[in-house]
Amino acid sequence: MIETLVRVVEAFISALMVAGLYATMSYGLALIYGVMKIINLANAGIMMLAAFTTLVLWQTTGLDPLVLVVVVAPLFFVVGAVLEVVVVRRVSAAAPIVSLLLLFGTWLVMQAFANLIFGGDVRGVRPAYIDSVVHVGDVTLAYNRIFVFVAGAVILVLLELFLRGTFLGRAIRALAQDREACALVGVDTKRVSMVAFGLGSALAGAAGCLLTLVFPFDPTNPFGVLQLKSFTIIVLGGLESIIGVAFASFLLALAENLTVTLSRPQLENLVSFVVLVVVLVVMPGGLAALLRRRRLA
Amino acid sequence: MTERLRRMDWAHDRGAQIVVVLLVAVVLAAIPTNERQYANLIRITFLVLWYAIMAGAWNIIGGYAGQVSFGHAAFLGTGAYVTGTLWQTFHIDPLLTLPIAGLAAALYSVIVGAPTLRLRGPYFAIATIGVGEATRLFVSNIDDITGQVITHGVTGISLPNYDPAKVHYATVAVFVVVMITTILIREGRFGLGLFAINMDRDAAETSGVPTARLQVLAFAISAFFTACAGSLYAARQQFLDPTTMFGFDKSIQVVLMPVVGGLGTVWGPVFGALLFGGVQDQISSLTRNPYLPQLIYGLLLVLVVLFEPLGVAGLLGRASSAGRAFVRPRRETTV
Repeated sequence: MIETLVRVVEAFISALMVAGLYATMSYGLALIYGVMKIINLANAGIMMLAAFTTLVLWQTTGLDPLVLVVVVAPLFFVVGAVLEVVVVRRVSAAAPIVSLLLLFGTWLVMQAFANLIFGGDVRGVRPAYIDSVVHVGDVTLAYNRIFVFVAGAVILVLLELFLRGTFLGRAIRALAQDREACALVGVDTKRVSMVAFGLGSALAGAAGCLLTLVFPFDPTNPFGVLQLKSFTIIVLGGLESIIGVAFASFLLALAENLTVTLSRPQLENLVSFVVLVVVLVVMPGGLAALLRRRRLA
Repeated sequence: MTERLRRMDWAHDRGAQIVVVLLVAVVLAAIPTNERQYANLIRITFLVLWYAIMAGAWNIIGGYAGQVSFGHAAFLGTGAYVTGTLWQTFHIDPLLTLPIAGLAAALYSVIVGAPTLRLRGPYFAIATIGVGEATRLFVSNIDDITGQVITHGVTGISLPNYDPAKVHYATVAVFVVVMITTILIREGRFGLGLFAINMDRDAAETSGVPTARLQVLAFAISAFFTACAGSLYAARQQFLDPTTMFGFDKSIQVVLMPVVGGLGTVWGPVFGALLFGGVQDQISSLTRNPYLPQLIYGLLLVLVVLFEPLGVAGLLGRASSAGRAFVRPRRETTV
């Protein structure tokens, strides 16, 4: 009994640790959807490219991914902004299916590109502390997960400060509410869209950088699965608030961890897929309301 | 868009199109199946037709109704597994199980589609990714969960040998049925309803189109034929495993072919299948690197979406009516 209880507490804490990473990768998706009403299917591709960039930088400079995130995130801000200007902007007025297929194609290209350059081997970044753990009572915590959680939390707090405190940040939030009204009061909607897509990509880049510490990866895995998890999270948490995204990240991570602890490890991913479909179906009111706003916009 | 799609298609007449399909089928059926020098031709023909069946089936829901499904591997795998199980366990001739496999997948698609097709915008597409992957994981682990041998998990099912000639004729037959179905749907009231949903679901609903029913029906027909392709695969390949049959890469291929070939056109999926089956076969045997084709198809997808939304079919339409191409609006201007 006490055994099970300890394992459940462990599941809670380890869910909290993963939630920082989940929230970082999902909030980029939510940000881009909020401003542009586009589902960024290339999010996984950006995470993957960021992970490989981190790997290469770690191998050449020896710097820890926790430091490299300061380089990688701005780099993928630029990548995202360029992607928006060159490709996404052309379809921003078309039907959702067009941007979906376009970004899906972009994802395929990124994946094939990484496979051709880096090969399909499983990689990972392993700094000195990777196997160290800390004991709190009966609960065991890995250092790398604690660091990733803290980094994710710091990034989200900084983002929130930016979105609330700066003119550009407020313009992004305003655009998410009403694009036409923004244009009327003189907001440069094109430029703000570019910044929003760049920011979303920077968040995906930061998540890709951080996840090298936690997950082994190759050009395909675990990015496709993570992509789906971020869909689940933004669908579950709503697209408006950072709190909702953070809470949904924790809920999903907890559901997964409890599945692993109390049932079977193979079913971990099944949970998020089932949650995704069920939430989409059971809460169509919330989603329909969101998309009705798109029609008016 | 309907107007444009109809105008762009290089064959307008229902009867003429069916005649073309039958002629193609007669030529394909005339390939000698028992002579060794034609074995490779038979193999490639199977590949292309198999792709064309799936692409044409996907096009009914994805191209006509505009609901992109990223989870069609679920139906492909369902078809293959139903046939494989019936064949192995109950010794039923695999080709006779085609309708059963199709109906099983159609039933599954109704269960999945009835709630998810109500979703708007990109949410149906995202839900189908979830459905596809959940199905794969479920099939991989069901033996483990129930403690009984049902799907043999990730190890897969080995099947006995089956006469490739029979599979060849069956594949040609299914191809003909799929093509005629897509032609009839597209030129009929059903298709008109689907295109109306594609353009504006609310307006369609208001003008009396039963949008929910039409979408679910289109999804079910699509799933039915995709499952038939799965059955044919089971009859030909003698081995099934969840990673191949339910894999996300299969779902991707099924999307790529109609989009690159020409979304919502009758012959687009066939062009896509030719590109995919024929060209990929050649590229793979030359480079042995599976990611080069993926790079090419990904780029093609991006270019098609940006510059020629009707894909190969659109290009052909442009070539045959060069004058009209100038007055054709170049890009969708949706409000």
